[in-house]
Amino acid sequence: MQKRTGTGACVLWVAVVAGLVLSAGCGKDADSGKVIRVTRNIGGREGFRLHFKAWQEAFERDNPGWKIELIDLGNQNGDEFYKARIATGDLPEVVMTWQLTPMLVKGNHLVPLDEAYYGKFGIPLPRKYKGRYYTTQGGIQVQGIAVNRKMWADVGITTPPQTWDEFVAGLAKLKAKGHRPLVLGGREWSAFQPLFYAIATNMYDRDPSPDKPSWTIRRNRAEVRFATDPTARLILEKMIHLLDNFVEKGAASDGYNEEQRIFYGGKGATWMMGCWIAGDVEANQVDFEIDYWPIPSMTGRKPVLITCSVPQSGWAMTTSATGEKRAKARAFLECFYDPEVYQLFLNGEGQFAAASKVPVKGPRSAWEPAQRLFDNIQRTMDEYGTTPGFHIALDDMPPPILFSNTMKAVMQEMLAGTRDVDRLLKMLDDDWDSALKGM
Amino acid sequence: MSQGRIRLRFGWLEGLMLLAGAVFVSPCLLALLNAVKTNPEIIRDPLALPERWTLDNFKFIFTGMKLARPMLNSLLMCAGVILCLVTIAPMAAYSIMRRKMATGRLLRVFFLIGLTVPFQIIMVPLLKLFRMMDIQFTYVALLLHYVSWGLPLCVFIYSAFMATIPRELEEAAAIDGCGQVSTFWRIVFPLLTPCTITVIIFWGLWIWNDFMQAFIVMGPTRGQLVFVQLWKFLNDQYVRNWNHIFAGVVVLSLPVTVLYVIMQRRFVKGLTAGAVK
Amino acid sequence: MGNASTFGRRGWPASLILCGPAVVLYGTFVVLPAVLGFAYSLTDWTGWTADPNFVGLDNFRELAGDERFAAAIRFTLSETWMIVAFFTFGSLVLAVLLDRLRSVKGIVRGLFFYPYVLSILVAALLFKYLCNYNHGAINLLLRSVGLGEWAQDWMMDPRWVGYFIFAMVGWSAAGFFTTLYLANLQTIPTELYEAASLDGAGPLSVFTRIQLPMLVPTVTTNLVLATIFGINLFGQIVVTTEGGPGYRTATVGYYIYWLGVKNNRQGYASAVSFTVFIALVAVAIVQVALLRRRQVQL
Repeated sequence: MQKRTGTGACVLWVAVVAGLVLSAGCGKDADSGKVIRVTRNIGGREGFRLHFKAWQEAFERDNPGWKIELIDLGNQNGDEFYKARIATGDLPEVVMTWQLTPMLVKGNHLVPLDEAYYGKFGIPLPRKYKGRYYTTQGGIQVQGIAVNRKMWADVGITTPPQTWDEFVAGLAKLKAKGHRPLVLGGREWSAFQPLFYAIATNMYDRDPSPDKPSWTIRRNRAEVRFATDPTARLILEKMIHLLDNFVEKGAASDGYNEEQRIFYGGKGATWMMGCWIAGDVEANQVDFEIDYWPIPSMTGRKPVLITCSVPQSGWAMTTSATGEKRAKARAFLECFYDPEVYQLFLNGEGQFAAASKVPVKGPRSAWEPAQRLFDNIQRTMDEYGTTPGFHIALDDMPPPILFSNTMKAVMQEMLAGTRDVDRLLKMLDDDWDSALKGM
Repeated sequence: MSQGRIRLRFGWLEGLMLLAGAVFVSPCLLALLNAVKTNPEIIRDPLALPERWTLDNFKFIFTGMKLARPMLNSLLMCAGVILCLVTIAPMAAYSIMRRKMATGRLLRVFFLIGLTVPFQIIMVPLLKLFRMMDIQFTYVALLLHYVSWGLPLCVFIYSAFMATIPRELEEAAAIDGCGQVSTFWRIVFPLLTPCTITVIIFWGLWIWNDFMQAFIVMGPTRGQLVFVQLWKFLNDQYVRNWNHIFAGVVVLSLPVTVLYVIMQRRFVKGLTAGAVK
Repeated sequence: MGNASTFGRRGWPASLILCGPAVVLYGTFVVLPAVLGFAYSLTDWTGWTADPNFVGLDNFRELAGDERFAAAIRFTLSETWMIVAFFTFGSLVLAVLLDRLRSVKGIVRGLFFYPYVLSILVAALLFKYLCNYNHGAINLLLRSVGLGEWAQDWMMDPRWVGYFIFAMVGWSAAGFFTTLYLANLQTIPTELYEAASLDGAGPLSVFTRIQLPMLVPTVTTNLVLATIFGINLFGQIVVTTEGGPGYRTATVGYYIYWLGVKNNRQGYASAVSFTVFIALVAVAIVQVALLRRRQVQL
């Protein structure tokens, strides 16, 4: 009798545990039928949210019975998320790719887009990647220097400095007048901006062509190194000078949020940041005039803006979209160029139109300072032009994503007081080599 | 030391230590204070009393951060893991302690090694293993991980305790014809209650508080446990408002704090049991 | 524990039921991955592409010359030694003081222990907030009493960041180690104290002659625990400095995580983690052996 009680207890125990385990597993996502999942890094940005909502509504209106599910990646770059989903075999049907396109294509996760798609909306064909096209317009962004017009005018400067030394002289004047010359936070990703600007505008060709190897390709072949490149050394020395003199104590503690607060609060004169801040101006009710200046060179070149146009870095369909879902995913990508949706996209990202057959030119805002900034950016682009920097082609980029981490780490080291340029150059080289092994 | 007398001995040492203790926990009080302020107020003066007491931050916890479901998930996970641990671990400890010298010691060493292994070492192969079993990024996987991870320490605690239990009771049961398993459940297990309570407190707290392992095992999007959610929310750099963060911290620490205040002695005993031999 | 098992050889199916689940679970989800980890360390696996390639001992050769690994080791050790010193000796002093309290002992002990029940995420957030240069409570306090020049960037300044992490960890677990000492102190028989007071011994003598020798077992336990604590620093780094400024606060645990998760080099990360594991086991063995010899002597 006792033996039976023992077994009975055993069975009961197994049942209870199994029950708990199963109920805990109830948190799993349910499998859904007529849903297209899409990733986007909304991260609290109103402009992005408004755009996505309109995009979703346009699709659901034209495709009754089908729904769009947003997967908000916050402010993440998505690489961890995509890796996890690929491991699960559960990649969403439409993904924003950033510079992850090579990795996604390598694993055969993306469905190519045909030329007809681009022709329909008048989008110039992006540079082919491995012979195919994959994405909508995504990252055609412009990077330059945002300035508080009044503060710079206060020291007598109303037009963009034409050389780096002129720029630095202007910062010195601002400092002497008691303004905060440069807004920079060392804690987060945004710390890398000045260094990225310097590398992109000084070490790379302005008009790259496929038959002339870029600095990245030469570095990958070990023909050049940071340690032996005199331009790299110059850049780091200038960066050290910049940080030593024009960044407030405690900047290392600041993150992107703090930078925003300082600049939009009118407390800082200069902010090296991409054009999407123009989309932020309205949300933050910024009411002073902002000018968008090109980046002056340290090596005697003309000032220029950087197009962070990683070719083919927008939204793409994935191989998860099978059967009818593929047609619907493609339909969703077409809704992207619905004029109202497209306008909201440009507004949120502060970008200019690339689709000539769509009656939308560029971002538009009812908030006048924001609109004036958009116009200012367009004028600067027209006058000074752009360079792709190191965003030349997908297979011609520094070890992806990671290099922004390395540039940030180098900036943090400089903020921490490291003056040993050789050590910093070695950091850049070592990380490049290590990341290359991980590709 | 008589406990019945009312002792009003309160000298300078008592005062000093009380003050030291209060200063020690002052960061927590600061969090509580700032959880009822608005963000601009916090930035202006974190140490001031709020001008307007606001509960909006707490509302945001449930509407914006959506912490309600994660709280339930965390509780379920705690319950599930604890149930597994308090059944599996003592059985194993019993078996180890009642064995021949050689095999018993072998098993004890086998489990002891687990105490020193840091998580990073098994992190990646574990994820790969879960993928091979097709349970990657699920709660089942996390449960299996937590249970397996907790077994070494639990077996150790139970073994130590079991060494103090006299064998006569079991021998009597054996003579009565009881099987080994039944003996364990009917006679030994009830005696292990203090140990079981220790394990419940220790692991319940640990799982509720854990975020790193949950984040890694469940992956960046599926993690629906409380601190993982809070952590993901924080990573969302564009919405870093200290008032929300403090409100989240207060809400999530509240259950633990309440239990701690009520059962302080039990808590302390439970958490230090693994180390006090 | 007797020399023969209680139930003899017939009891082996029961043994299987009793021991089986634990051994299977632990073996599959802890031991097996650890062993697999070693296998991966011999490959160049990136972590998410399908096939790892065997590269033999290349990873270990790279490891030997890896400066960032050496820096991670140095940082981990510098934090660990601070943590060990504080938890072994600082907590001792605190426990002795607490033991002398005559009335509010429970409350004070409760206050010091409280941070231990909070999540490390909470501790990290609180400290991040306190130490922020512009808005943190510490600097604001300093500025409000006119000591503004003493305000520092406690979290991101390389001079202070090591202490910042140490303070965070110390705050969390000081109560835990103090309680262990207190438990030990309570086992000291009161006759010893009475005898000492009869001899006219002051509090310092009492401490050195009576309490300290009796506390040795706990000192050894705390030493080992604190070392493990220090070497396992990882979550705290992820939440606060992310290895920064630069890479200065990357502990070995964080470096492994960074290599595997962010740098796409799981094979290499496995090699690093395997090396660390071997080192840990060696340290544990040495520590236990040394301390056991010490204990026997006493």
